[in-house]
Amino acid sequence: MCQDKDELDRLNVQVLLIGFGAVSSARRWLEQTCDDFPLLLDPEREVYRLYGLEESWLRSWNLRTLRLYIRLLASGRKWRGIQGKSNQLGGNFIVDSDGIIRLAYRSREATDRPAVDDLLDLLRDLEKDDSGS
Amino acid sequence: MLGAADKASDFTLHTVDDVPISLSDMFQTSRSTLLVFLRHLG
Repeated sequence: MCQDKDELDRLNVQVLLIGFGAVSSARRWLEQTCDDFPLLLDPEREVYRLYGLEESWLRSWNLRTLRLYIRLLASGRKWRGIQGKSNQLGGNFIVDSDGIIRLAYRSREATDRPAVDDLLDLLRDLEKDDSGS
Repeated sequence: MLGAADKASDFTLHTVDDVPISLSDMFQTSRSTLLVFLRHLG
């Protein structure tokens, strides 16, 4: 997502990252991954629940997840340990400027995320809709 | 459960620098807001 910041800026999209670790962990995560977008902390995961994001040990830790971690470590990413509840699944939502949800994507398992290209296509469609109205 | 075409529930959370940000604040300045809920910070 970080490498697409210019396109996201052009589309006038604000990205909000939401996590639930401690402040020190969040700072470290930002330094080591992506500090182009604000990281909001939801320590009690109230907003996670509000948006219907699930918890599942079984779907958080499976072979695909382990393969992903091995691939990340092999590519040079540092292991920072697990911060917070590791059975919490993530998700992506797109909200337009009227406050209407245009995409609600809840991860079915840890590695399940919409493709960045698909997100950008949808955001470009929203731009076209806006330009046409 | 919130889905596409529903009104998004507003919320206010703090950044790592303790700056409060509300989802509704984004509507004034951005065409769209992309919320990325992370799994954990490991």
